Amino acid sequence: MQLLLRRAYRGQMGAYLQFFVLLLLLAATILVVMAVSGCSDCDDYDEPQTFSGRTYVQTLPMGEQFYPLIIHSEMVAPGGQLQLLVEPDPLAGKRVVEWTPPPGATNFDFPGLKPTSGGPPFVFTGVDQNSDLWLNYTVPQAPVGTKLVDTIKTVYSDGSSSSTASETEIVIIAALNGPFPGPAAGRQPQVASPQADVTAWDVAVWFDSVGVTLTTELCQEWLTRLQGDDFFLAVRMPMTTTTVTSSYRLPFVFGSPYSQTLQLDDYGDPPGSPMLITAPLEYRPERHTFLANELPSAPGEHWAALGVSATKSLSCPAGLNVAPGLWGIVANSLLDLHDQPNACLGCTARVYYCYEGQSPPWEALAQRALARTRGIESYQGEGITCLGPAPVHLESSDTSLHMLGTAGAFVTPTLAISLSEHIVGPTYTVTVTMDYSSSVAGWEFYGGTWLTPNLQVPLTTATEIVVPAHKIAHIWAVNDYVPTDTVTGPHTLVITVTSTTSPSLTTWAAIPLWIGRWVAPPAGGGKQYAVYLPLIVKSP
Amino acid sequence: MLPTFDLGPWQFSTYSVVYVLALLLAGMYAFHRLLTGLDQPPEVIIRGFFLAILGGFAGPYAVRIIVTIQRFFQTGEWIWAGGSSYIGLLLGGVGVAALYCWRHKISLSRALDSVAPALALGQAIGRWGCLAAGCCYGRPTESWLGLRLPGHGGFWAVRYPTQLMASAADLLIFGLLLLIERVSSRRRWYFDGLLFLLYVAFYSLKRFLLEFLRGDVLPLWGPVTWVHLYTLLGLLGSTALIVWNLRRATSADRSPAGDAEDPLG
Repeated sequence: MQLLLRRAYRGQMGAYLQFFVLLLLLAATILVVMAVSGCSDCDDYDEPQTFSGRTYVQTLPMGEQFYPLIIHSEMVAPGGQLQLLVEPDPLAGKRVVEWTPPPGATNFDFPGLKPTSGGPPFVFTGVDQNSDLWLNYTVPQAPVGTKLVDTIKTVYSDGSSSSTASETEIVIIAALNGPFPGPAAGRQPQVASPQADVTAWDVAVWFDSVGVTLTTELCQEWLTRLQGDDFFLAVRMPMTTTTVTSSYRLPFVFGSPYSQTLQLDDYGDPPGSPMLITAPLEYRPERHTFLANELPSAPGEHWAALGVSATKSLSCPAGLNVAPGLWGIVANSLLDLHDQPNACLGCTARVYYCYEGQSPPWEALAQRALARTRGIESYQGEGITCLGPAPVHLESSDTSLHMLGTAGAFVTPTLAISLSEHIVGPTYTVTVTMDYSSSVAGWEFYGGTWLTPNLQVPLTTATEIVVPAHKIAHIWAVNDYVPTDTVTGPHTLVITVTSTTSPSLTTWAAIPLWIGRWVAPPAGGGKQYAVYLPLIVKSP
Repeated sequence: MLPTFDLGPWQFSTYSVVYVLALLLAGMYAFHRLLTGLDQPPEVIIRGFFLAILGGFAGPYAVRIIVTIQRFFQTGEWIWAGGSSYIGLLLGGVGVAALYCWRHKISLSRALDSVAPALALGQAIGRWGCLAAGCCYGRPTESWLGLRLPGHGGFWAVRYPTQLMASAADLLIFGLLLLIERVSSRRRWYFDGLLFLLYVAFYSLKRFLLEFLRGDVLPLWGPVTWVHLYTLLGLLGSTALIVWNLRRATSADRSPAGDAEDPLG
């Protein structure tokens, strides 16, 4: 056999055989390279490009270092009585709790465990999971909007190590809807224990720069702006609760190695490189009542606010000069929704970007930074402008549709505008139709590429759009002439796509728009008070 | 269309499979023509062939730089262009082949003449991969030529079937080249490099015309795209070289000494 093969390799026929074998090897190599690199057609549109906004969602298994944040909400009038329960921590051993009430609080009373030293601050020793630690006091006659800081410092002691829990806040803010219920003495808050192994949602939302070079000065300007108290993210999502005044557990996970962060990313850096800036996000409970009262609500869903922490000193790298399109801001969030049905698979979180102030938040930045991601709006009131909603769909990318594209736009009437949304399909081919709703008239829809609409491909709600497996279909919303009679202020274009064969396979994207000139939000008015007490539960 | 197909537990991209099928068939045919037309040892041809293939793979990357710059001028954004480019593949392959022929004292013109029909054949096959993948698609039309096909964005419409038209045109070019080779080799005006130059001219003309019907192009000015400029350059350059060499060949034919120079170097 060997001899036969050797002979076959000689002579002219042998040359053909050699060549064919080599060609086969080359063909196999090409096939493998194309498969690995994802090259499956002659176009270039499948390669990663920059977008105005993208959302990335995946589930992550969580280990034992998981620290859910507990919130205990009660309603109380200025000068009213407040009763708080410090959550027992099933995983913790004996611990020492030091409680510092807010300034102006009076009439302290401790129906359960008594403090070992007078205060304030009050110190409780030997606290364990069986301890009954209630804190009663009278809230001061503070004006609306007064922030009262209520600090609970917990020291764990298991013989070998000790740790300190974070401090938390208690805030007087405007009242929730409905009659004022008065003190909620005796109400047992729900207990949310640290979970040994639950699956959490790892959410990343990108806001890409368009046409702006990132310099050290611009970066620093952003940092200063974001670390201020007047900027916060409002998130509405399902949370376990029965009524608006009962306790509920916030899904945000705070703790190493996962946390809530806002990051500045240089896309040109090699994968795995550290971000230019990583700013930790902190919980902003003082905004909750405003959000609950003023922004759109939904049954079973609650608002929570996050802001960039000012405690960490951050500075931008010197000599920063990143080209437009090669940098962006990434908001990372880890959400534990294990107590929701199916861990909230299929839920949609709505994110609003809120800013408190009478001048537009983009005044200093608008002409230079994130030009296409600014100017979105859905609410103005209480001196606050909230831009949104930006939906974050908690879905499996293998089986669901999702959309990414323009995060928002600032539009002057009479001008033309084109906005893009890109439909990312599941692992199989799906045929969808699109629908839309908008408070702005004059939209027309077209196909196209990542970069440009194709006016030769008009889309209607009857057009069947095929999203092949692992591919992306493009929708361009074009408005040739934004009508002059469009009301100045916030508007939204909502695009929905739905599978033609499976109506439950659907998703939507909202592109918030600001039409016309900036209008300052109305100043806040007097409202009733509500007090929230967030607590941290920490495992040893 | 059929962007992917399953074979047992494996899923294959139809485009990739057709791509390598075109390489196998056209490669074998090109090798046969090189072996019979160049009078060189097989190992020299095999080595040169695979080096040219490598150059062909590198070519599109060089072309992407141009496309990236071109996009910057059109969109104002620096976005690295991806995708394959036949023009880049051709330039890269011919570039490496030229170096190899120069190193081994092989006539580049004759080598290119040998592979020209195989290039057309490979393209004719490869375009079916584009059809399966839904790329290189045509503009929507109400013409009788229209077929209901998807665009890259997944939008089905009655479109010019540019992939099939390109494949048919490539097959026509393939046949024409073989016919001209047969006819011209008996004529005294034949010169080395004629087939390849004709291939470039025909390809450029085909691409220039089909570009008007393509739906996936980034317009430069009105209906004119960058590819129009490239192909116009290819068409004019190859035609000029053909005319110049034909005149040289006929004048050499009239002169007593003749002329045996390689017209492409």
